[in-house]
Amino acid sequence: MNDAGVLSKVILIGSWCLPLYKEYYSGENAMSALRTRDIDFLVSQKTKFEEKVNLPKMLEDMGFIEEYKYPEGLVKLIHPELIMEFLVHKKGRGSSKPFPLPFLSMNAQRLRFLDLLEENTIEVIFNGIKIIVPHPVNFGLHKLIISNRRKNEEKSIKDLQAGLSVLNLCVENKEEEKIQEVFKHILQKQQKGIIELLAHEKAYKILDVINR
Amino acid sequence: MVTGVTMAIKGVLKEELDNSIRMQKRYEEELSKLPSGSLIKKKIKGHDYYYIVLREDGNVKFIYQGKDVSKDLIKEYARAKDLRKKYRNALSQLKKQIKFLKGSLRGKESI
Repeated sequence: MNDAGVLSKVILIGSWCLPLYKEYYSGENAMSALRTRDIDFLVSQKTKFEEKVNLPKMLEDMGFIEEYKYPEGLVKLIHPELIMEFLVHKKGRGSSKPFPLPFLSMNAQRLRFLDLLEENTIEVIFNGIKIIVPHPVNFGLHKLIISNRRKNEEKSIKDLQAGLSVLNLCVENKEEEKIQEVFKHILQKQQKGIIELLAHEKAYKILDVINR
Repeated sequence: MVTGVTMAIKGVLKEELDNSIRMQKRYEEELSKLPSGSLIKKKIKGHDYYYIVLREDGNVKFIYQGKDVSKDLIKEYARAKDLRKKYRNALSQLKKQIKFLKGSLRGKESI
């Protein structure tokens, strides 16, 4: 994917970011890297790909197969070690139909609140490969927002723990101003939800930064 | 007492078990789509003859294809051979995962 120029156009999101943040902060903190095999890539709707890449065909050699989700028409690329999916930000009420990515021969799933992950990114070099990930602050706050909205309790706890661990890492690495800046730009309703969640979890270090 | 961490771990294991079961089904479907058997070339009295070798009801069967076959057919069977190996490896890996995940989730509580 790197050789085909795909990795430089997409943003890695989800729990696979956690070990990369550990790398970003020079391994100063031991973070939990509890994650599934799902590897999600966020694609900005504005992204232009210079060349067409037939991703399913390209990964077929590695034993990946396509998985269609009916009736939505979503495509995932699956392998016993990895489940790859592409996502785009769903604006407003938006359509729930998949977003076509003809340059990757894939469809992407539209999800809400991904703009928070898209608007502020960093580059991390991992095993010599440049990977784009959301800024840890955006990632952490996004996890708290979706944790509040999850109906599945186990997934909600997983998001909460990932969000707290990344935000605590940000606080320890002097990202206070960034936390305040990003927090100010999110919806008031979401801000309230985050504050309540942090208070409930007794995450006073993060709460203190936000309330300063 | 079930803590948040335990719940999150259990949630991940359950999700992964569902994923593995779903993937197993998909790989079996893909495997069944591949052409059966292998294309082989036999040299008989100095001449090349192509056959598809199949195993049917425990017996090996040779289906004659002719003295010459298209490059596309050779390519198709070579690709099928390669993919069959990969899919069988994937299925073997998935079976092990399912066994492990079921065992891990069973523990003292029901899944």
